[in-house]
Amino acid sequence: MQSLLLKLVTKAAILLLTCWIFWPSWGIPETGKKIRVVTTTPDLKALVEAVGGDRVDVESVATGDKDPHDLEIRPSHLVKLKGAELFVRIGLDHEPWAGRLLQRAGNARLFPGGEGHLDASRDVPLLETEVPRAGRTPGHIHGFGNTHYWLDPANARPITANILKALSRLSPGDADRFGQNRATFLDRVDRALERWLRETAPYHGTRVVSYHNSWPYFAKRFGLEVVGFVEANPGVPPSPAHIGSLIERMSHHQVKIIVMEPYFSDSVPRLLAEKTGAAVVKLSPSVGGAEGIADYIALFDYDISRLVSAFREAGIPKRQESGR
Amino acid sequence: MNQALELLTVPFFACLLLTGIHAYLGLHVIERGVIFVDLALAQIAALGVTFAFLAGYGLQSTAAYFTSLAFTFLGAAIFSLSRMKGGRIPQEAIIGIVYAVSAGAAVLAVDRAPHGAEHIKYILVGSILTVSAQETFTLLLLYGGIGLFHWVFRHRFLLISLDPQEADRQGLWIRFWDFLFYISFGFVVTSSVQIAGVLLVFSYLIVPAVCGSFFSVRVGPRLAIGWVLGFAASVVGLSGSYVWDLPTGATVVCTFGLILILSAIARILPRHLSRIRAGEGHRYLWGTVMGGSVLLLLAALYLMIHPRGSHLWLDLADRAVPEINLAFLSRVERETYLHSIDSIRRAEAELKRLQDMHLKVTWGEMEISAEMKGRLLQTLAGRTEIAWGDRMVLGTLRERARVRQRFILGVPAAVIGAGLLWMSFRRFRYLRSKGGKPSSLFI
Repeated sequence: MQSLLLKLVTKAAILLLTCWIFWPSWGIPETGKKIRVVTTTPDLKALVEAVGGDRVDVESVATGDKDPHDLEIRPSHLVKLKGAELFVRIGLDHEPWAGRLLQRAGNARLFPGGEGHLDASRDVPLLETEVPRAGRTPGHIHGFGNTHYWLDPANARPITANILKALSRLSPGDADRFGQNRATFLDRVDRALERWLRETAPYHGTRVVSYHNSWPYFAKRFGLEVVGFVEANPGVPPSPAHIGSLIERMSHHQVKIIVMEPYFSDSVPRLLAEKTGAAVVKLSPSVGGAEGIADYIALFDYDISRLVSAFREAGIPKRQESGR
Repeated sequence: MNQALELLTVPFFACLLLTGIHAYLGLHVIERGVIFVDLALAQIAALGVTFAFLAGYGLQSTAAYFTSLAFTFLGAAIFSLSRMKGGRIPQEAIIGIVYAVSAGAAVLAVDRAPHGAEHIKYILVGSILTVSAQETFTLLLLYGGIGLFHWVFRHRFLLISLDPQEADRQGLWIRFWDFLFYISFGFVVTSSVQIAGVLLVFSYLIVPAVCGSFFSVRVGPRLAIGWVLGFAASVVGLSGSYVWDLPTGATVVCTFGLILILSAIARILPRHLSRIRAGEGHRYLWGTVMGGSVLLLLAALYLMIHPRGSHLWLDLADRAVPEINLAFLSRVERETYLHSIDSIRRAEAELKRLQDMHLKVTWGEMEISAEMKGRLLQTLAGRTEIAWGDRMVLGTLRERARVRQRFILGVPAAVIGAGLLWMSFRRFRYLRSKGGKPSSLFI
């Protein structure tokens, strides 16, 4: 009796095992194979998806709600990279962990210079390239220009152009479809950008202080002037003298807005706000940085609406649109 | 600049409060030999907050507060139960394990939560500079209450900490009082860590208590010394942070380190001075010679083996007497060397001026055209790079000098070092054969 049971169990186990081994190949037609892409940030993921549509399967290593600088590498990241055909990164030292990650995954075509490696910064007009490259720099300052270029919607054009090229090379049959996807997407971005510019136009030239130097592209596009940073040296807690001079200048120049990422500690910004009467506005630098930011356009919808309502609440005078 | 001073007023009062309670609790902690119990309790409390956060309550909510309190009680229970009479496992081991496991559990718990890692960081990092007046007032109430509680039951708490055998003999219920001790301790540490961060709280807890026990075995004087030194560290640390423009918390922590060293010296100096006066000075002399000769020998060997490495002693010598390096350079090299030093100094002054100008331009306190602004940025970057280039030139020339110094300086230095070492060895053997008593620096 017992041995019969044992046999049955064994047979069932073998059957299950067989199913499990062959399961992935069931029901998936060869032609429908998706291009597997790994991006470093969710913003790049959103852009790759915008071009690739349903022909790509994209995963992002970093999530939008954490500081991308201190990412902890997990086994699942390595598994994703081993099977990937394309790796897309921000570049310019934005992801100090990317090199180590690629090395560990050991997927040779994703290595820098390989056919599956795309540095999205390639054709983007960069800001703050005047930062000296040589020598010691305090804290983490990026040596090749500011890396937060995806925060200008106009940069979606050069970024997606390179994504289009890379995807078309991997799947030449889909090139037309990718091109169409990109054109539709850019059209949407352009129309939305018009709307965003209309909303921010009355506040053109408003001065703000930001926590970290991550908003120059955003500021340039939407007419903000970032006049100071809460962090004197990125990553190092500010000294009383730095905060003191910031308070003096903010009060003197009537700076009413402090912009920061949700994942930094807001204790110093709150102190500044209390002393100067400014408001702290938490803007998401990335897709997925707050609830409801599901794609690239939603990111700006979120940030612009938060910013504009903060401006309104802070009573910042509107200017004539012909101002600039 | 007045702004900065004003910013430091509230943190100063917060530091005084920290001194008051932690110097006292530190005494207990040192006597019990549970040095890292504050870290463990803070971490357990953080784990509690994390769980409440995952259950959907805000970080500052009442629910989070009570969850963290419940976790602290749990920690207190663990620590009071883990005290063993002559047990083979030291309590410090249990504390370490509790710390590591609760830290790991907190990481796992918030792994999937949005902004998870930052939340844990907030709970444990704190920032003394941004403490508000209300928070300080809350601290005053809390610490006052717990201080009162400890004052009322001071005989029991002190007896258990200082002499557990005696307490046991008197029939005190040690586990119960331990539990109360750890709960009150947990209350204090959890709130102070949120405000001042783990490092600062640890310093306030341990350093004044250790300094106190340098000078006295009695509780009263130890406490008084702890309070005075804690006060001194707060004043010096905060003013240092203001004067030298440094991050506040870290400055206070380092001040504590300095105070510990100074009081250690103050503790041992009179005894050693009296021994020197008693005619034992040569022991100290030869001890210093021995230590110095070992260092000299190692430095000389390192110079000979790896002349291009970094040689701190030679760098310091260069700065004091540039002629040492100049003697090893050719005439042209000498000119370049001096020129680079001069040019770095000028570039630094220029950079300071340009940075001030840049700041004024960004804030609109100084009007210049967009073209000038671009040029200003380029000049800033350019000057920085040129200064860096000069530093590189200097480094290369210094390296060249080192390579030439390799044996000319290295061999004599090694010979002198070895000779002195040999002499001091012989001297000590002679002293020992004469039957001097072996001495320790600290006792």
